[in-house]
Amino acid sequence: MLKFIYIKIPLPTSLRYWISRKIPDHLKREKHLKKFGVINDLYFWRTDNEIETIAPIQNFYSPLFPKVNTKTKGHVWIWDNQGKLLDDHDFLLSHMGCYELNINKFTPKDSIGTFMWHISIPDSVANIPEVENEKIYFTDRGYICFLKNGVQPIFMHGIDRFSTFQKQSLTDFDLFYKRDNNKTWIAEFPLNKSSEIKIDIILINRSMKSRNFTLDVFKNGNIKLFSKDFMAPSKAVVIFTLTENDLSILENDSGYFSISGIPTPWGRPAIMRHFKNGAISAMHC
Amino acid sequence: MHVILSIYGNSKLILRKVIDTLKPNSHKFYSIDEELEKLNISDLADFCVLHRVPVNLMLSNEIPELVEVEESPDFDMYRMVVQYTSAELNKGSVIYETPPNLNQNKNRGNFLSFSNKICLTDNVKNNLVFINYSTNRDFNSTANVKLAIYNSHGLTLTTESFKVKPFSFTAFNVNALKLKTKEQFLTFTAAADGLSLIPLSVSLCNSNGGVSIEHSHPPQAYIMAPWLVTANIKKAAVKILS
Repeated sequence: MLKFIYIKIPLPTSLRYWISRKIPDHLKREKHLKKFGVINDLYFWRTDNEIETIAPIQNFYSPLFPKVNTKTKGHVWIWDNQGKLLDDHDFLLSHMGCYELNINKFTPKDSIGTFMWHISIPDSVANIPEVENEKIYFTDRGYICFLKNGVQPIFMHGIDRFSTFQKQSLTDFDLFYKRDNNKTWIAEFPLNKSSEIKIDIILINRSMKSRNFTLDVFKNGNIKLFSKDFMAPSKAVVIFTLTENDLSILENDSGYFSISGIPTPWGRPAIMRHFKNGAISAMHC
Repeated sequence: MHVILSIYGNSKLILRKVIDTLKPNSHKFYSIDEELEKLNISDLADFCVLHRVPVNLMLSNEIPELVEVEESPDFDMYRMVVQYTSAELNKGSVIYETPPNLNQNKNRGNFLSFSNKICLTDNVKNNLVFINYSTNRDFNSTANVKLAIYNSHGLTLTTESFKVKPFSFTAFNVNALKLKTKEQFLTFTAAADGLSLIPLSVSLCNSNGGVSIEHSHPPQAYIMAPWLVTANIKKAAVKILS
């Protein structure tokens, strides 16, 4: 009844919040999130611009459950940007361990694509009664590294959710989001004419359909400077580059950008900045 | 929106000042270094906080002691971009959240962080940064942090203890430990009881002046469960790791 009132009747925010707290957590979830399991993100890789993509995959169960031995196994999938599987393999993780996945070993040079990993719930964790009783889903918020010229590392974490693995399944998964959205994300990051030679705006399409996106670049004050449309196949990454010339249109002012057409709620863009002396930096927006 | 800079030195508030009023639909970087130079307090300041306050909550440039709002504003996220620039003028930036009730109550909460963002090479200086901040002006708790660093097999290479003073930060230099390992990527856990910290990883590359900065997610971001279940998992882990 509370769930019906919560969903169907427009209520003041404070009352909605009160009702929300009274509804058990798992009842608010979608059907595929009512057992226990793991949620993972889809990440992008790139081997262009003298960049290596490395995922030091950390056994995140260990710091959460340091009292038990959390040794477990995992699996990796690496796709090219047309959705073709380039490699998949198992790996083992010891308690507090880490598996170093160097994507460049499995992918062509000067290319881009996506990858995912999954760490199966260790037996010792799956046997903790709360995990099944409270229908816990662990969400791997992994960090990946882009290594420039073999010397400069930059790190960035996953930003959305892509797949759901039920219970201790190692390789069977379905999509986390059951329907596509059409979201717009205004990045907080200020655009300036600065010391970088280019800024890559990077977007992953986490849906199962091709998607058209629109990039809008604004000068402060909501003054639109230009728009670009681009397409990403399903499960692919798209990189749109703002050049020094594009940024010079801002003159001495600041601006910002937005992306529309995003199919998943948190599928916001990342940026990678390339500087004159070869250094790079990256951040999620 | 008023942009207010709070400047701390030795865990005490030195100055709080409105530095700009940002118009709607505007995104702008503010140079903290330049603001400190203008105020001639670069030598005293060691920690700064930038606040954004809607003009309707503060009608003039005079900063009130306290702004009371009828209802807690329902923001999706409380985030701000922070950027660091190297001597070579390369920039690294990050966006992260500071929860609105961070360390409001004394001796409440706990801190657990874990990540893989240590890349050991001759050219890279790895700093694990822990910020001890509160939205309670009377907050005065020092954090006692226990840090452990692991290799890929899960072996503990070192455990270290250090303090983080209130309204301040500690940048822990991993390279200074001179760890005996041939592995390039290492992981860590950091834990403290009684308060929360904001963890950042900052890597500086000596050979090209590159800057990498990224925050780490709290344990609750890894667990979809009722809040109390998550809190108990975290509490039990902190007890062992801190």
